[in-house]
This record gives sequence, structure tokens and C-alpha cells, in this order.
Amino acid sequence: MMKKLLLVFTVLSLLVSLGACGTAEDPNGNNDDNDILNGENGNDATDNDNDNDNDNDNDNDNGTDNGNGTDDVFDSELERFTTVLEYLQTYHYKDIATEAFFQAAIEGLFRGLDDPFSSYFDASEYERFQQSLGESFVGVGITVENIDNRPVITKVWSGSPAESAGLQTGDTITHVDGTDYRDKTYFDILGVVIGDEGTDVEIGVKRPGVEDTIFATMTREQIDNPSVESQIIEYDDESVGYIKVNTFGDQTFNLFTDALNDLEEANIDGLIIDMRNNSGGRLTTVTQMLRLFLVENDELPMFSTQQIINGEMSEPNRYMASRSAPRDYDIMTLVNQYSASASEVFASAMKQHGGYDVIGQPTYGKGTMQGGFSPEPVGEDSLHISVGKWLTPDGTWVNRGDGDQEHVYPTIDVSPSELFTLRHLYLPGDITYEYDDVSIATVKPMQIMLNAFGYGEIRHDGYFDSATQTALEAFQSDHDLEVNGTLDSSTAQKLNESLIEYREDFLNDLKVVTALDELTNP
Amino acid sequence: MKRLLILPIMLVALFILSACEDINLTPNGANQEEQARFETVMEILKGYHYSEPSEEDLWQGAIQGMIDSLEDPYSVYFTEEQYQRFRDSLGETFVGVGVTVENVEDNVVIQKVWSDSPAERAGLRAGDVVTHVDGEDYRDESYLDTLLAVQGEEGSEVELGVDRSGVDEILFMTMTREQIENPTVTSFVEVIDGKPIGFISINTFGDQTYDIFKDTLETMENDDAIEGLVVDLRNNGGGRLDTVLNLLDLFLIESDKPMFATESFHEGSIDRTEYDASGDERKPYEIVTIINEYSASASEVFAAGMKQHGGYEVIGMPSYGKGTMQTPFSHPNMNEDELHLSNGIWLTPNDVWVNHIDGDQSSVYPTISVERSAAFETFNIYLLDETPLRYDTVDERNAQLQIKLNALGYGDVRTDSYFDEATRDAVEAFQQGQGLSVSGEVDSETAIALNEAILDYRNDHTNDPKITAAFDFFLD
Repeated sequence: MMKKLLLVFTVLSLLVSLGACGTAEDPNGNNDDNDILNGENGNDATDNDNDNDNDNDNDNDNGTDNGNGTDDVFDSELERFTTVLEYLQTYHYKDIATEAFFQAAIEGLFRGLDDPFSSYFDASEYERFQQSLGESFVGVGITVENIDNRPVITKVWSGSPAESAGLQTGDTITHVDGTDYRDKTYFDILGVVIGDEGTDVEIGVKRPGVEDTIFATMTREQIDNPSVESQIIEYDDESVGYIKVNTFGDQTFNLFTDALNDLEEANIDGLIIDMRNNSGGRLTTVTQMLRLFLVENDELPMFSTQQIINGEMSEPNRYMASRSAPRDYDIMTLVNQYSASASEVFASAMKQHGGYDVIGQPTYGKGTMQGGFSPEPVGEDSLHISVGKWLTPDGTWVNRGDGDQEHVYPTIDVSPSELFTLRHLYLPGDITYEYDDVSIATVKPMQIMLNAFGYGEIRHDGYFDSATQTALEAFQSDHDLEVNGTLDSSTAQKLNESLIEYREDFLNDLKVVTALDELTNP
Repeated sequence: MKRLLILPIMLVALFILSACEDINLTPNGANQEEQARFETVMEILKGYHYSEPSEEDLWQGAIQGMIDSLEDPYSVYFTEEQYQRFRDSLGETFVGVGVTVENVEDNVVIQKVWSDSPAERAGLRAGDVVTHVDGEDYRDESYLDTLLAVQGEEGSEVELGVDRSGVDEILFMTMTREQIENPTVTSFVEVIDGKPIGFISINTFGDQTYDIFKDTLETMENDDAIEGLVVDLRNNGGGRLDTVLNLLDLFLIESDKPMFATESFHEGSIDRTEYDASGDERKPYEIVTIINEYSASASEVFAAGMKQHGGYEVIGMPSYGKGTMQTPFSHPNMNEDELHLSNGIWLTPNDVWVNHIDGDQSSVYPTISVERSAAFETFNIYLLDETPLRYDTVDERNAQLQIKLNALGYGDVRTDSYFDEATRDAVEAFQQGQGLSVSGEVDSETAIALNEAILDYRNDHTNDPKITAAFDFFLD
């Protein structure tokens, strides 16, 4: 599973802002997001905002003045809580301060919800979360992969500080700002590489085949991270438009519209919309995007939402389509198991409302939507809470664990080829593998690569037999490597590079090829 | 491997503090702000989270959050039921159906059926995979969820469905959960070089452990006239402080060092207590203590006391390293719940804090180091999909197979999970020796025979390198 260095939150978020978000001084919450929500369904959301503000006022006064008859429970639970707090402060051998316990209790409240999508953000976490919805983020410009709990660089972004400083694909991060992180976890290291724009970071890496640690200093800057990428694929004498949507961010709708216009001007015969690995984003963005394709239908909403209002789940708010006619070409949506939230809203609407095909694997299954809250007592912090659910056009709640259905299911099932899920080869301590060795973790993926790259049809179970040796020698010979039939670090590096090239070729991508076949041979 | 009852690693110092101490949190300014922030967050979650969490659950989460922040796995908030289960673990019995289970690919697999248990009477067998509990299909559930469903109250019935190798249909059996004997002390006497040597193994330092140990020892001394003693504390996760105190006092004699010391915390100050030995005569025989990396807490108090205070040998591997002790707190505000808090630390006779995270030293180190043998570490082989292990394949289970074959004397084959010709020859030799059909492939029948053979091998203590080393000590 690839991870961009700056997207620390694997929170898949469908952002619906409810009033108080980031506007502590504007309790009526008149911000854009809110208007968009209201625009569709009149007063419900507005009422909700007012309730929210009233409650917050109560909290500020007293915190226990919730006036709905549960005071007794509140009081006895508060006593229990206070008793435990007192014991922890007085008797635990670590002698921890009270303030820290309240923060821990807040974290405990969230953990107790058993909902990975509700979070308490401090100011800098909130900022990073916001960045994840923009078209750039602050970083050094590398993609890293967690291999055996080590951060291994799998891509250095072109034109990035990391590229200028000389970091390379295959480097393993060992030091940050002079501290040795070899005994720390992947996430610990990731946490210190991240920082503010304009600050310097010194990264030490272990490079395969190089004995000493290599140190490079770079300045963190805004890295372009476009949410929409598009191109035309010529296939079978036809032109097919391809748009990849990485996230449903602030500018995604505009960028998507521009891309679509460009493709239509080029007279495409079909369109592929790629939602793979897209973990969601803003509800307003996906609403606008669906309206580019779906045709007015009084019976069926594109999707609907339900929220907790006054402690009760509201009636569904229906989001309706508005076009008078469909586009004059067919559309295929690609999904995988990491397509979540707004991606699932999109895929299920295209499927159930538009009757379009969805290609790939069952989606992640995140049927909740989050709202932001910043009441005065939390200061610069922010609460990001699952306030409701979204439902597909036919009213199904798709949520793994407790939904009516676990996933959005594709109409055409296609799993990626093994080459797309393979991890990169990693040889810790420059260990090598040769004839008669066994390694499921390393020799097996090497064998799968050699088969895919056309170096034979060898066994691929991790046993390094003589046919494996012959295939590896042929690969080494073709890539100007020392022909020794041994998997060493320079051979591993070349295999990893070949793997990246392989994956970048659309014709190796089974889901894209299936979509192209469907669109060009209807 | 896991008993159906999970034994927490805990050293319980049973000084129960007066249950009704006056609790009065007097917040300073900073605390008031923090408390207001906390209560605001709680109100928002209560009012807006889609799952409509109950007030009790939210508060429980908050308490759990504070406890998690201690980063101390031994401080635990027990609900009444959890506390009962914890108490059970210190007794000589527990409630269950009498099986030891193993996690195989997230399946609950029966590793051992205890003799004369409800499971045995109902017909459960080692190797059975639990698929159903009380009519519910658990094949897609996790190991832990299945385990939790099997557990329950004494006297209640549970219906288990199991997938048995070679049987097409799921087998259903009903059994009643009952008190299962789980003695904390087991023993035998072995004659080594003409000298009777006593062997006593302690699983946990429970409520009756001291009395049983003392009776066992007296019998060994009076009836068997033992000339040496081995105390086995391997895999012993600890228990009560007063139990280990009394046990040490059976062997250690007055000295200027304490057997161990404790330091308890109270509002930033430290109360130190030293526990002195009271005996005046050393036992007329040598005593050897065996430990491994799972000997924790009270086991380490014992081993460190025997080593540093008594000058006795300790055999095995460095211990776990748990140097804290827990005190139970209860209070009317907490109803019947119990808070176990790491209230202090214990120190060895030489005043060393042994704690693997932040102590002076991370383990109690043996005086004679003996590693475990690979044969004692291997997992049972299960063929969940009935596909045999065979020549020219790579499979992680092949390594388990190869280690077993080597230990049982059927060869000296590679153990890297590649099933080569030598492995095939060894499998054939094993099948020949067991009277099985000789195929060179490990099918279910062969796998079960191998699992049983290795169990017999382990039960023969002459194969146990640490016990052998302990007995060898008495050879001189």
C-alpha cells in the first residue's frame, strides 16, 4: 500500500461542514459548504446548525446542563471518572499531570466510538488535513512504502526538493535531522519527516550497495499534487478519454470540468473515470460531478444523506440529478478496495442511477460522512465527527461492519494483476539470494517480476531453482548488470525500476484494458 | 498458543487501600479549562455522532483513554465481570470447556483437549477447527471474536460446530461450561545418579499456591528424602506478592540484604519497604530455578531473590522484565469495578530495578544460560484445505515439518521450508515407523501423527534442554 509522505491521515473523509467548523467567531456558520448543503434541502441543515450552537453555549456555561433528563447518569459517571482520575494522579508511579489526563480522556472518547473516521485534530493536524483536499501539500516530494516497518522511497517526484538533493528510489530512510531512526517504526519516521513549509530537514538514507549513510539536506515546500489527471488513449482506432480523480478536493470539480471539456473537444468515443485509491473528499464536489452525467429522474436521487438531529436520525435528504440528456458516449468507472466514501457515492450513483458499468473490485465500504466542529472551549483545535450516513440511489447504506451492504460492487469484476499489488524488493543489510535459497518475501516477488517481464515461465513460489537463475542472468545481461545469477542490491534496484515502468503502461493495467474493450467493442 | 482463559501478566500487591478515601478533585485554572474542553467534546459526540453513543460508553471510553495514556499495560480498569475472570486466574480452577486452542490463520483450532473435561466428554478432538458457536457461523469472524463467543458462565451450555479433517459435514456438539482444574503447582521426583531430586513447577503465584507448594515440598523432604530441588518458573506470568514472599522465605535465611524491596508512590512521595528473610538455616540441598523469557513479575522476584540473596543457580534464558507492581483500587463511585494501578516498583536484593522498558536492567539473567530447542517451538501442522505438503514445494508449514522430523530422529534435513528429496525421505521414514501408508506426502493422517509425536517428545522431560541442564547440575 503506497502512501504519500504528507498524507498522514488515512482518514477517508467525506467532508460535510456543519456550521461551527473553523468559524468559532461566527456561530451562525454562514460559510460556503453550509450553503451548498442547505441549497438542496432547505431548512434541516440550518436547524441543525442552530442546535449545535445552542448546545455549545450550554457547554461553555456548565458542561452538565444538557437538560434532557440524563443529569443523574452524567453526575454519577462524572464521579466515577473523577475518582479514577484522582487515583491515577495520586498513585501511579509515573506521576503524570492532570492536564495530560483530560487530553487522554478526549482521545479515549474518540477511540471508544470505534469509528476510525471521527478524529480530534490539533491545529497543525487540521491544517494538514485541509491540505489533503488541496492541489498541493508541504513536503520534500517523495512517496514512501512501508517495507518491514522501514520507510523505503519508491518514488522521487520530479522537480522536488528531494530530487534536487539527490535522494533516489530504493533509498531507505535511516536518519532525520541527525537522529538515528533505525530502531524506530515506519510511522515514527514518517512523523518527523513531515514539517512546515520553508523549514529544512536533513535526511540520512541507506542506499543499496553503498556502505555509508548518505545525508542530504532539503527545504520543505509546496509540492503539486493534482487531484485530477487526464489523457486520451488511442485504442483499436478509437479515442477514449481517461480521467483519474485522486481526491474530491476544493478545486477538483473545476479541474474535472476543464479536463472533460478538453476530451470532448477531441471527440472521444468513450470515457474512463478512474476512482481507484481515491479515499473521498467533499460531498459538494461529488454532487457537482455527478450532475455532469446523470439525467433528471423524479423517482431516484443520485444519493441521499441522513444526519443526527436533536438526537434522532433525520429523514433522508435527496440529492437529485438535473441533466436533460445523457452524454453521447458510454462511461466506465474504475474502483478498487481503496475507493472510499465520495468515490463510492460516485460509483454507486453511476451504476444505480445512470445504469453505467463499474469495473474493478468491491469498494472499501465507508458509508458515513463527517462534519467539522470548533466550539470555543477547544481553541484552535477541531473536531471531525461522523455526523450521518449517505445512501445509494436505491436507499442502501454501504458500510463495512454495520451497513445494509458491505461494499459497492462492480458490475464487471476485474482484479489487478499480481504485478500491481507486488511490493518492491528490499534487501536489508545487502543480503543476497542465490540458487537453492528459499524466500517467500523476496525470491517469490522476484520470480513473479521475471515472468511478467518476459524472462521465462519459472516457478514463483520462492524457491530459487536453476530456471530462476537462468532467467535472472538474462535480466542482468539485458540491463548491463554483472551477470552472476544472484539477486543482489543492484539487480533488485533494476527490477524495482522495471516494475514501476511496467505499472505505468496502461496496456498492463487489466482494469483499464477491460474498460477500453468495453468502450470500443460494445 | 493460548488457554481459553487469558492469564494476565500481573504482580498483584494485595495491600488494598481503605476503600472510601475522600475523593475530591480541586481543579486549578488550567484544569478547569481542560475539563470544560473535555465536556464540550463529550456533548458534541453525544449530540451529533451517527452511532448515537450512550453516555456510559462515552465515559468508559474517556476512562480507558486516561489509562491508555499511562503507556503501562499493567494498569487496567476491570469491569465487574472482567475482574471475576482475573480473580479466577489466581485460583486453582477456571470456568471453561477444557480445551487449549491455537490461532491458525485466524481460525480457532483445538490444540489440546483436557482429560475428563466437558470437551472430551462431548467428543472434541485436537485439530478440530471451531466453525460455529451456539448456531452462529463464525467462519468469517476473527480468532478473538470466536474465542470470546466460546467463553461464558459456569453451568451454561455452549454448542460448538467443528470442521474435522476427513469429515465432510460440520460436527455439532453441546457441552456445559464447568470449573476446570488448573493446578498452579505440579511436581515429580526423579532419581539422578542415585540421588532423589524434587521437581516443582509453578504456573502462577495464586491464592493457594504457597500452601500447596509447602505441602509438596514437605512430602518430598520427608517421604522422598530429596537431595536437590528444581523450581520451574517458565511461562509463569506472576501473581500475588504475598505468595512469592512466603515462598522465598521457605529457602532464604537472615542476611543484611532484603529478599526484595518495594517502592510505592503516593502523591509524589515514595514509601520503601524491605522484605527480610526470617529463616536461620539453609536447606541441606541445592536448589536450581528455571526461567525463560515469559517468566515475569513474581517469577522474577523469586529468581532474583534466589540468585542474589541465596546464591543459588538460575538456569535458562533472560526473564521478561516486569518491575512494577499493581494495587487494586475500589470505591463506591466505581460500583463493583476495580482499578488495578501500577502503584510502585520492586527491586532485587542488590537494589536493582528490573524492567524491560525503563528499568536499571531489562531482565533477570540466568547464571547458567540454556536456549530453548527448536522442537519445543514448532507449531502443529494443520491442513485446513486438505492439500498435502509435498515434494518440491515451498510452504511455511514445511519448516515446521522439517524441525519435527529432525527432532524425532528421522533425518538431518534443511529447515527453510523447501520440501526437498531429503525431506521426502524423512517423511517416508516417519510414515514407515508409524505404520502409516508410505507416500512421502504429509496428508492429514500424517500431520496428526506428527503433531502427536512431537507432543509426546515434549512431554518427555529428558528432551527438555533446560530440565536436563538442571538435573545435570546435580550430577557432580
